Amino acid sequence: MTTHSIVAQDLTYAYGDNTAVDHISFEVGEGEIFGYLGPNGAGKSTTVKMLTGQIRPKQGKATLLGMDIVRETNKVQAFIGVAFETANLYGQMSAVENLTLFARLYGVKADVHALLEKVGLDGRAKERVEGYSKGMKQRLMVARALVNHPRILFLDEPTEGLDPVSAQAIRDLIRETRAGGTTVFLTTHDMVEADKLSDRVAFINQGRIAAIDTPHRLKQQYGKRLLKVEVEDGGGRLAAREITLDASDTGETVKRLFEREKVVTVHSEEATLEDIFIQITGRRLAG
Amino acid sequence: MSIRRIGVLFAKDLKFGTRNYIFVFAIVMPLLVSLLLGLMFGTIFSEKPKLGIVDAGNSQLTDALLALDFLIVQTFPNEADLMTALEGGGVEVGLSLPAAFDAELQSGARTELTFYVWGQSLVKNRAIASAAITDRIVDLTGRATPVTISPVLVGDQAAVPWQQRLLPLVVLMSVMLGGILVPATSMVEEKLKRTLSAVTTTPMSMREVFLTKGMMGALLSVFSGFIILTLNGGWGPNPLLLLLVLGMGGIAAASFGVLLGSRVKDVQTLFAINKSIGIFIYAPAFIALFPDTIPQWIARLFPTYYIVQPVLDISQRGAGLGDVAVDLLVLAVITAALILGLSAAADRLQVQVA
Repeated sequence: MTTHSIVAQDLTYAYGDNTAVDHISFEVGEGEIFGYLGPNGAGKSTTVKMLTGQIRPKQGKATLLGMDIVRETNKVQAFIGVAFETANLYGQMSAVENLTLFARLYGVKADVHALLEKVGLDGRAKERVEGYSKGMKQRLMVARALVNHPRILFLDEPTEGLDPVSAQAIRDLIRETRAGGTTVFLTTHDMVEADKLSDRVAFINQGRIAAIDTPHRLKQQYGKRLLKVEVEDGGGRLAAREITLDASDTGETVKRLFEREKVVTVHSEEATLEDIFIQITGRRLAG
Repeated sequence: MSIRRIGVLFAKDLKFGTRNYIFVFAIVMPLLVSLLLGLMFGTIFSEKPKLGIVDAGNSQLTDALLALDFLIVQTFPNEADLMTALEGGGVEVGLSLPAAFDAELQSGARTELTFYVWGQSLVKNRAIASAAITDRIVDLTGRATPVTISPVLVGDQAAVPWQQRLLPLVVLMSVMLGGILVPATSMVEEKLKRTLSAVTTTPMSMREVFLTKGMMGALLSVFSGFIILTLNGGWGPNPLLLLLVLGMGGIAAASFGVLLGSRVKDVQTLFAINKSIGIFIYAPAFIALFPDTIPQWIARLFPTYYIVQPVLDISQRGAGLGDVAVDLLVLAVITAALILGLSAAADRLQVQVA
C-alpha cells in the first residue's frame, strides 16, 4: 500500500473574487519528487501556501503526514521545510547564524557546517548574508529548508535565475534529500528541470489541475515522436522533413524518403513537457 | 505559545536589533533631553535641596543641618536677607530659629517653627528639607518632640517650575519612543525583507512573533523610563509602584507599536505616521507645559495621560496605589483593547505575508 505524504482534497482559495486555486485534489507519495508545474499566476504558490499552513483553504482540506494542516498547523510545520523563490534571509546575520536561528526555532540540533558544506557555502559561512550573490542566497535557503531534517520539502523555483553550476548543485541536493526518504514538492515553471527531477508532475492552469502523471506517461499519451530529416536538393540547398514515428506507414515513408532524396542528417525527437503543457492547456509555461 | 521559540527570536532581536539606529535613537533621545533639561535647570549635577537658615540664638540644630551632605545649607544674618534669597530662588526653603529655640526644645514645650518655601521649588526638595529638619530635632532631643512646622510660600506662589512642567515630556519620551518605534520598525523590516514569512513557516506563529516584538518594546520602554527617573532622582517613596506603572505603560506603548508595525508597509510611512500621531502621544506633556492657559482636564482625553500622570503622581507627589488606581484602570482597559486589536491583526498579517 502506498503511503501518502500529502493528500489534497478539493482545495480551494480565492483572493476576493479571484479564485486562485479551484477545487484541486492530488496525492503525493512518501519519498516522491512531485513537480507542480504551471505558468505564473496559475495557482502554484497559493497551493504551497495552503499546504505549508501559511494561509487557510477557503474550501477543502489537506493532510500532510496524516495531520490536518489547518487544525495541526504547528505540528505539521515541525516536519516540513520550505525554500521560497524570493530570498528572505536575515541579511545582517551570517549563514551560520541564519541556520542556527532556524534550528533553534524548530527546536532541533543541526550540523549547520555540514549543511553549508553540502550547498558549497562552508568557505563563506561567517560572512554577512547581505553580501552574498543570488545563487548563494538560493543555496542557503535550500540549506535552511533542510535544517530540521524535514519529511516533506517544499521548493519554490529553487534554480530560478541561477548559474548552471549552482543549479546543478541544488538538483544534486534535491536528489540526495529524496534518497534519504524526504518527499519533495517542487514548484516550477521550468519544464526541463521538472522533467529531470520529478517522479510525477501535475500541470496546474487557472487554478485547476489539467493533468497529473509521470513525465514518461504524459509524453507517451500526449506527445508525438518525430523523425527530423535534413535533405539536400539538387542546388545544394538544405530542406527539413518531419516524419511521425507512430503512424502505421512510417516505415514505408522513411524508405521512400531515402530512395528519392539525398538525406544529410536524421534525428529522432520526443515531445517535451512544455509541448504537452501547451497541447493540454493551450498556454505556454514561461511568463 | 512556546516560551522557547519566543526566547529564541527575542535573543536574535536583542543581539541584532540593538545595532539598529532606531534602537539607539530610542535610548539616546530621552537621555539627551533629560540631560539638557538637567543642565538648563541645574537639577542633574546639583540636585541637592538648598536650605537657608536665620539663627538668632546659635542653635545646635543649625550645626547639625550644616553637617548634612545631602543639603546645601546657607546661613543668613536676618529674615530680610533670607526672604530676598528665597524670592530669587537662591535657596528653596528657609528656616527662622528664635533665640530661645534650643531651650524650648529641651523643656519639652510645643515649639512653633516657620518653614519658608520658594513657590517654584520642587516638591521633592521641600519634602527632603522638611524631613531632615524633623529628624535632626529628634536626634538633638533624643525623643519625639512637639514641634509644629508651618509652611509659608514665598515668591511666585502660583508658578510651576519649568523643570516640573517639562518632566511629563521627558517621561513620555522615554516610555513611548522605544516602546512604539522599536517594535514597529522591527515588524516593518521583517515584512519588507520577507523574513516574517520564513519565520512563520516554522512552528512559530504570528502571535508568538507579535509577543516577541512587544516584549522587546515594553522592556526597552521600562529600561528607558528607569534610567530617566534615576537620572532625575525621581523614584519617590513608592519605587515598586512606579515600576508597575512603567511596566503597564511599556506594554501599552509596545502593543501600539506592534499594531502600527503590522499595518504599515515601509519605514518611511512609519515615520510619517509617527510624526503625525506625535501630537496625540505627547499632548498631555504639552498641556502640562501651560498650566495657566490650557485647562489641565483636556489632557485626560489622551490615552498617554494615563501613563504619565500616575508616574508623576507617584514620583513627584508621593502618591500610593489608591491615589492612582483609577488612572491605572483606564490604562489597563486601553491596553486590553490594543491587545484585542493585535489578535485580529495577527490573523490578517499572516495572510498578507504568505
